[in-house]
Amino acid sequence: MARATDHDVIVLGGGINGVGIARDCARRGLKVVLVEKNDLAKGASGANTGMIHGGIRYLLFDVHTTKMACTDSGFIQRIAPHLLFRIPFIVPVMKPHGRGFFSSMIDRLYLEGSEIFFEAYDEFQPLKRGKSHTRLSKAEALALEPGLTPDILGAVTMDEWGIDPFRLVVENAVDAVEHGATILTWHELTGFQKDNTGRVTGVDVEDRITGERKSLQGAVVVNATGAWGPRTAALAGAWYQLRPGKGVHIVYSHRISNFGLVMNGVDGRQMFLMPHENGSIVGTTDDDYYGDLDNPRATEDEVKYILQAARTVLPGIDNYRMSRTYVGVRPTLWAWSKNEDRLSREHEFYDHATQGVPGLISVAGGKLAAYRQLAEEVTTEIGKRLGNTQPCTTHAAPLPGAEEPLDVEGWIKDLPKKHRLSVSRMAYRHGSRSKKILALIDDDPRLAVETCACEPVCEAEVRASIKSELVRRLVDVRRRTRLSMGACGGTRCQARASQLLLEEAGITPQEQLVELQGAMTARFIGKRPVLEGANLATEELNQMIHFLGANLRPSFDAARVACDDEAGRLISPAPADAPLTRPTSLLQAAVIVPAPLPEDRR
Amino acid sequence: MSASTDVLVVGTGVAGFVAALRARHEGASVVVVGKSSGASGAWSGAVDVADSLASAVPGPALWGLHRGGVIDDAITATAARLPRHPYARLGAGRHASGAAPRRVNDALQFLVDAVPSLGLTRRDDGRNHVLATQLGTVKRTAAVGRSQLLDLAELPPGSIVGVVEWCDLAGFNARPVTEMLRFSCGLGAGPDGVPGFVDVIVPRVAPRVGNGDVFLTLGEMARAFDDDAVRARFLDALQARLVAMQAVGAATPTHLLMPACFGTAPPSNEALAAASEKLGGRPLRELLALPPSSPGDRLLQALRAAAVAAGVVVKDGAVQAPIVKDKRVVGVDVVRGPERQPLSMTQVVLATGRFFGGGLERSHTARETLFDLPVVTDGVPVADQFIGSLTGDVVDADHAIFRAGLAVDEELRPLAGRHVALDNVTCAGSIIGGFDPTRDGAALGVIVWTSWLAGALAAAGARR
Repeated sequence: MARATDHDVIVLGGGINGVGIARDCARRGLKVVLVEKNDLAKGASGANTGMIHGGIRYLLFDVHTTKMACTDSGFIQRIAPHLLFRIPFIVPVMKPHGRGFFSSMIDRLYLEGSEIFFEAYDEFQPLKRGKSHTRLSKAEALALEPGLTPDILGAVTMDEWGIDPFRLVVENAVDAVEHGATILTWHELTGFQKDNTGRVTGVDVEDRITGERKSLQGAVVVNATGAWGPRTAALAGAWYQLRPGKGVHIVYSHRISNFGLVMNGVDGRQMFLMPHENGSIVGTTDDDYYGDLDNPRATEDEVKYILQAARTVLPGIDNYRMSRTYVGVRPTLWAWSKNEDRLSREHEFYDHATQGVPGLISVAGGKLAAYRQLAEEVTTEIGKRLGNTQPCTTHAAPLPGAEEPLDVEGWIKDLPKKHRLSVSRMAYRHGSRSKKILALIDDDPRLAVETCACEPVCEAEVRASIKSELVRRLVDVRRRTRLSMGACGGTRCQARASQLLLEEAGITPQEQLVELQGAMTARFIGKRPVLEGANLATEELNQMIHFLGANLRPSFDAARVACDDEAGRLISPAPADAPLTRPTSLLQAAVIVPAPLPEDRR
Repeated sequence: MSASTDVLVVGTGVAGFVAALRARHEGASVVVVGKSSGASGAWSGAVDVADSLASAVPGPALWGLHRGGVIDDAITATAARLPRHPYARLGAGRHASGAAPRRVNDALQFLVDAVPSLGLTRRDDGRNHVLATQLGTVKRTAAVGRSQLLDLAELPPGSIVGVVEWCDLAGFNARPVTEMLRFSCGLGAGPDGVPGFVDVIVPRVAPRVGNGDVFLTLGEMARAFDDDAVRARFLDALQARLVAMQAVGAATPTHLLMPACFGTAPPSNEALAAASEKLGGRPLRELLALPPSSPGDRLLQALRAAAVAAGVVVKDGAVQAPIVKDKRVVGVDVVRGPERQPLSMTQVVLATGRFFGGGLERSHTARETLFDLPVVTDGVPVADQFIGSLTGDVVDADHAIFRAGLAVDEELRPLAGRHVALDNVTCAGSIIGGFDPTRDGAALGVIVWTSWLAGALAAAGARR
């Protein structure tokens, strides 16, 4: 079937569902382009609990979601084992409030009831290689988790998998590119093209960094823009409805418990406190969100709500240091007159042909753990329309970095001891592709230095990521490498990383300053609701390093103007006591013949 | 048996040592106790006192190579612009250039004289130096140590500044710095244009440390530079690189800047001159540092040595359990590990810094950590205000929380509401609120000046 279009498929949205669809399409031989307004995983895909869990929260009212998530979670383990880490949970069975004559009998009933619930979940555990639950006595639970409240009857264990959600998105995108897809990050959708029958035939986009405008033609356009979905569809004259839910998490500077813990909020909602990567995360809230989708903010009262719940299971939590918060908006399916927590996590597709807008499909809802299933369903539907009968391979084909087994011990044995930690952490992000990064260190041993000392992330990883992982801006580096996600929140690494961006991405110094301001602000927004105790002290140091030591404030102002101004000229009012000639050019420096690099830089 | 002293200074940062030296200078017996150097350890090397161009912001003003107006006038202007600034509250604006006992200039000279090994240098015309930072931005500052003194606005036309990248040192590359310097300086170009900037990449020099490793930090590199023989090899390699650049017809620098790792001790005049001689007469200087910073270590070591030499008793430890009678602190415990020693005193200087130094704390509510004094910003107690109302939305906004501190009267005594909370306590340095060291163009200047005042006031109080 001949088509006069550039692409078979245009995917809108660079979250997990968008990149999953792009990967599946590319692997089936469809010509696909993906357009993302910000960076990959900028929205809910990067602001979740970081688990490909079965969704025990939904077991009571949404059992299909639980089963689907468990099945797909099993596939994700097969295609990206390097991204996964086991998180065993302890579910404390709390003493019920209100005691009476029959209290001991009620206690017993509570414990038995919890167990029945977990027996139901056990049915799904083998799908994701999870272990069945175990019942713990109070003494056993306290021995395993000494910080746990003694105010429990007993506990039940549960087995889940943690994942680096940013890497899952990025590696899907990289795999798509390696199979012929085009991924355009920082490109904003400005409108849809339609033919005279009303069929959507393409989109207009604008590069938000260079201002360049492009027209893309495609036979099918998939709207996978998450909570932004209805707004995207409206641009094409199509319509559907979501119940966007805001979710806030708190991140601690280090691991504050041995196990994941399950707890209830003041309103009875279930939340998690769990070790994750190098820290611990606690959350999430779930509230209907009517605010600005581009700028959701965690607030201090949401932090207090989460902490109030966390104290019930881990009474000493106030002794630990919060390092930041993060917030995202879920694209939850619409339902009227239902509590946020009871909304379905299923996914749905809307074919807007029924609204007179053929050629546009919207996907809504979904879970991180079930993205691959969603992508497969959408791609198969697209394949039907375009006459593509290739089978889906995304459940079996490894993601980038999962091609070979990891040999972390072998990689680090020849390295000086002080570099081993950052290199072994790198293996969790880049899998077997870490070997390419290690080759850079072989070439220049300086690149083994930790650019981010908290996580840690070595300079070679940052440079490699900028070069080969669809990085366009400094904030993108964070989502690829976890740079600045550690305890100090970018205090020591961001300025250096901005220099690496200048070297590797070829940006100008004024662009470097704009990038640094943006990345520092992104961190500041996360830290702001938890600026207290040691975290406030660190932020004070952060301010001193950048605005006292490096005097960056006036430089930020100047760079913003320089980047706005095409000619790179600045016109500023001169202060009375310092008459000055107007600067004429940024490139007034003497013309200099660059010296060739020395041959042996080692 | 309880020890006693005229003046107890709490805090071993710049503020604590300057106050102790001044009080000792005025004849008091002085004990200094502190847990850490706090923010002082992060010192870049610049003593910024006031900047007439700081008030030219908001706007895109970077002013590049412009050094701005006379510092004394800038102090008066700062006091006028920021009515809660210590310069305004404590009278610096009124007395900036007069003969009054509160001249900031005198405080600055006191610091210069206290640490001669640093060779802190001021300009004869009373204006700021224009210096390059480790990121390639520029900073205007009243005084700087001799090893960091390369005034970019002072260079003759045609000068070329080489930024030295040692291939033995990880985490520092010349190119981003030279590119940023071209941007920073280009904005304020005068009639002579701006100097040229080139990368000077020096190949690795043996000795290798460990198993083929490189220096990971500026501190490690600075320790290598402490060794005369090792330093000579680095300088030889640099000279060889300059010759090689010349040989291929590349522009060669007339001045050289390297990261601040020319030894852990303050580089002497002789060492700098010897380096320059080896490098064909080109001066080799250091960039303003980012922490962890050798200049910060050098300053604190020099101040500590000066304090000890002057007869100040310096103790590492924490001050706890103050005994307060009739609004006077009469005794404290000095705690170090398991040891706990009572100490009685006539006067206390509180120089414990802000949040990073440990003088202030905010968790649920904000408080001063030793005496539980109220923390104030913009005239309002911080108390349990939500952080959203104390911070802006972008990282470089004006955040009220970072100008929070204690409110003090003209005698630098801490206030609770409108009343003096403690009669025999004087505050020194950044624990005094009303100024944001990162935004007002005056950080170490305010700290040195208030400490210099506090030391004298405490000594006078002890005499009464």
